[in-house]
Amino acid sequence: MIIPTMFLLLTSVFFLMHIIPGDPVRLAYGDEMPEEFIQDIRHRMGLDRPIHEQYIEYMKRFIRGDLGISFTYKIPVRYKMLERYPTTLELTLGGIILAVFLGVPLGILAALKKGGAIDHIIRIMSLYLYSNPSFWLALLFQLYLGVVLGIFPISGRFNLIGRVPHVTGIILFDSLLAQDFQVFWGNFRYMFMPWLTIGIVRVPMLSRISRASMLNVFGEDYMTTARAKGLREWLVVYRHGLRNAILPIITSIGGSFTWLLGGTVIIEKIFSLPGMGSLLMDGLMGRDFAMIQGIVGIYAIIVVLTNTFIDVCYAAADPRVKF
Amino acid sequence: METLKKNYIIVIIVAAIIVFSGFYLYNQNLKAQREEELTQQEEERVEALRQAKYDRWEDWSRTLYVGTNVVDFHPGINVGRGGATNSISIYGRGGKLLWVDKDDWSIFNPGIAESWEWKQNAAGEAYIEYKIKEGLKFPDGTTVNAAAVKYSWEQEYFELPEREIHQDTYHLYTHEMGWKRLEVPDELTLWQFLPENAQTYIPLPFAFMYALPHATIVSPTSTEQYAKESNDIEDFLNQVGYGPWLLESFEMGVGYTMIPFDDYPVNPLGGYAGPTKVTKLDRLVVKIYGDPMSMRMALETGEIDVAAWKLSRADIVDLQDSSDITINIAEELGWTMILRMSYYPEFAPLNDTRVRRAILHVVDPDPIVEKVLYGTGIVANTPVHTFNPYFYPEPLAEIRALPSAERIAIAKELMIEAGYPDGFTTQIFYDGADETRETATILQQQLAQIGITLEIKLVEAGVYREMYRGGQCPMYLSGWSPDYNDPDAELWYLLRHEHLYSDDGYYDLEMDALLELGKNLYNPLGDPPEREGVYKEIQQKIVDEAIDIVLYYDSSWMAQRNWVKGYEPWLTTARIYLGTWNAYKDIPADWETSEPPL
Repeated sequence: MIIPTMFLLLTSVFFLMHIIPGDPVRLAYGDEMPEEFIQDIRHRMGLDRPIHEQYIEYMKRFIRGDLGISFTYKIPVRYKMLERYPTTLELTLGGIILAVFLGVPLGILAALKKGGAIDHIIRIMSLYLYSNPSFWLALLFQLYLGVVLGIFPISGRFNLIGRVPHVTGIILFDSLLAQDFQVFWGNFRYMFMPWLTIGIVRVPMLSRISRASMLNVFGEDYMTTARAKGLREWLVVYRHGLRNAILPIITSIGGSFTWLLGGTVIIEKIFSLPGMGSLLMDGLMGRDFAMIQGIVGIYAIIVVLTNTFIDVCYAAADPRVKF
Repeated sequence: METLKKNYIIVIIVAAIIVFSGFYLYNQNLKAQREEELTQQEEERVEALRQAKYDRWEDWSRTLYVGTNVVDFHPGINVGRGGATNSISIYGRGGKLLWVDKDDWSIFNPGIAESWEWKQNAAGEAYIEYKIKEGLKFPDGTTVNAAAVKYSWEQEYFELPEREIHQDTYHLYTHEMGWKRLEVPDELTLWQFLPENAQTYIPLPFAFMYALPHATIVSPTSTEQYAKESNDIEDFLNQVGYGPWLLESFEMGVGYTMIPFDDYPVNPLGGYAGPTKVTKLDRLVVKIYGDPMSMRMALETGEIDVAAWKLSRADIVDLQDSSDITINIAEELGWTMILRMSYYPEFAPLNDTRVRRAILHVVDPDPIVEKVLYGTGIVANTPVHTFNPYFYPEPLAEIRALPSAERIAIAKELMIEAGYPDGFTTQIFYDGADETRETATILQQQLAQIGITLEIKLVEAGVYREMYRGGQCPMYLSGWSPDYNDPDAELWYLLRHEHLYSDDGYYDLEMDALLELGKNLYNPLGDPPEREGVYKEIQQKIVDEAIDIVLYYDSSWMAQRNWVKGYEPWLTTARIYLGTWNAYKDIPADWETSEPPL
């Protein structure tokens, strides 16, 4: 399934990019360059060859792991992606963790207090948060947490003064490895608002799914049996209830993860985070075929891998599921 | 016996009193000592805290935080990437032979060169002879000499276009316009032989070399070692030029830090004549903000001291009332906005001079400047800026001074004469910028007064570029900014038939001849009087034939916290935020009761 999906995706993106008007070389080099120079660049990049030849060449290179050279940045696409992906990964992981730690317990609480005031409050808050565009939330957080209260820096990824350890590129993780808690804390402060922004946006969905899933299992016989055995309520809910209700929640988390990894352009722009979203946007604006095709290809692989990982999680969570 | 017993008791009591008194006094003493120690410890702790706070304030006062939204940069000094050009070399990491003065385009101050002279050799070739200052050293210890200058310029011109990394095409153009050959007759003398079209016309090469962020001078040794195509990007950190700042660190997409070059000399003419040794700062931190609003908030919280490039216009107007922030608006240093109309027959009747003049009569830039630019621009009546020689706004200014009703009446008559009494429909294209759309909307209302229906068409940026370059836009808005203070800078590129940037089908050999004549009449020792006549004729022709309809001169700006001293906008360069070497901050008087912003 992976191979046909990838093939279809890459082919459609390739031809779509070549159909859209706009000369990528002219966009990359600007209006001042003489036409003969532009033609020379086109020739060197193979853009003057027939499109089917370009396609075959591109697919051959992709299979070899060569994503090509970015028109915009003039470096191999994989270098630029490696530079940007850690930021997106850090942003996504933090946001997902926050969303899970907020959304799932809220959903469980809403299920436990079904029909009550707490349930209604949680559902109304979820709807309210879901209705707010993420960029609006981002600006609100910047204004109140950054400007008014002065708790967090307005934007950026870390303090530029001082050495930042670089191992994986995920600064939070690298600083812990280097036991540099000053950098850790600095990075945490810079990333908290972006995490909050993207996390809060996913909380409503996670809480609703958690609530629905838990309500499904609350009526099951084994829940009654567990209570009858005299187990404490939290054990009944978490060990018996949640364990059985977890599968849809895992699916939702996985979906959120891949959705966020695909790029959170606006959040990256607002918080000045050099991630994949802005890279994809720059690529689109600049008709950077290689960049767009590379990002889409890698993203497809990540989606497939994430889905595979979710399947493994299913098997781990539910012994009845065979992987 | 009784007496002895009594005496024993008395002795015991006295002894007890003495012992207890002793203990009590000893205890009190200990207590007093302890209290003294505690007081001393407390004082030391308070003093340590106070000193730590002072140290934090001192660190803050010795660091300048600048915000920019130039997102893409490269640590190389002259690799030809826009970010590197705009960010690093402009802040003063690369050197120049001369520096254009902060306030006057016509004044060039010594940089690496101590003198310069326009000469001609026996073969009649014009060249500029520079004398390089003696004793200058790059930060890597190698000598700054004429050979280094030749190397630097030739590297930009010959090597960069071959590099995959090269992007900023203006580097190439700078050198094409600036020189045809460089010679080094001795170690401290450089001859810059001028191109054929600039034998006497030196504003162009001079401006490209010294007012724009090109032709920076780098150490050949460090460039060969660290800044070749094969080097990793981190290696470029070690490439050095001759400027008051050294690149200390960079983080892609996040920002970079610079530290003073300790051996850079103090400028005898002062820090507003060109770079000078940095003495009041230990570090320059440049932070990237992808979003102007975030940059504004960062400025308001003090996270940055200067918002160099570029807050939004609405924010600038809003912040002008702030008591904590100073807005420096450099008038006329932004784009000159021009309405262009196609001459191609498929967009008739726009190619009819009468129709064009009709449109010229009804277009009124005042509401555009007031509503779209929030008053930050100036109405323009000629493409030539007010600070340039032969500025001649009268032809269009006189028309615009007429009452509105009269202008509309004249326009209607012209439309009738052209055969369009009921008007016609045409389109104006734009690429999504809000200001362009708002300007087009105002133009739409104005043209409707004479029956012209103007459809506003949004196209994606890449498509838009193809369209205006390919002559496919009936109408569009085009901007241009001058690179040097001569009317040629503004007129040549707008009116020569080989439009570099857009194609509206305008082709007039008579205009070409006038432009050539104007350029050739330039004399570095003083223009002949007929040159003024040529440029007045050109500006009159623009209005008589409605070749282009100029709307306004936009401004440039930067914003800074009031605690930043000494940092003033450089009004004569493409980037007004040059001059960081002059900036400093004082520790505030209330430092003991507050914390630094960061």
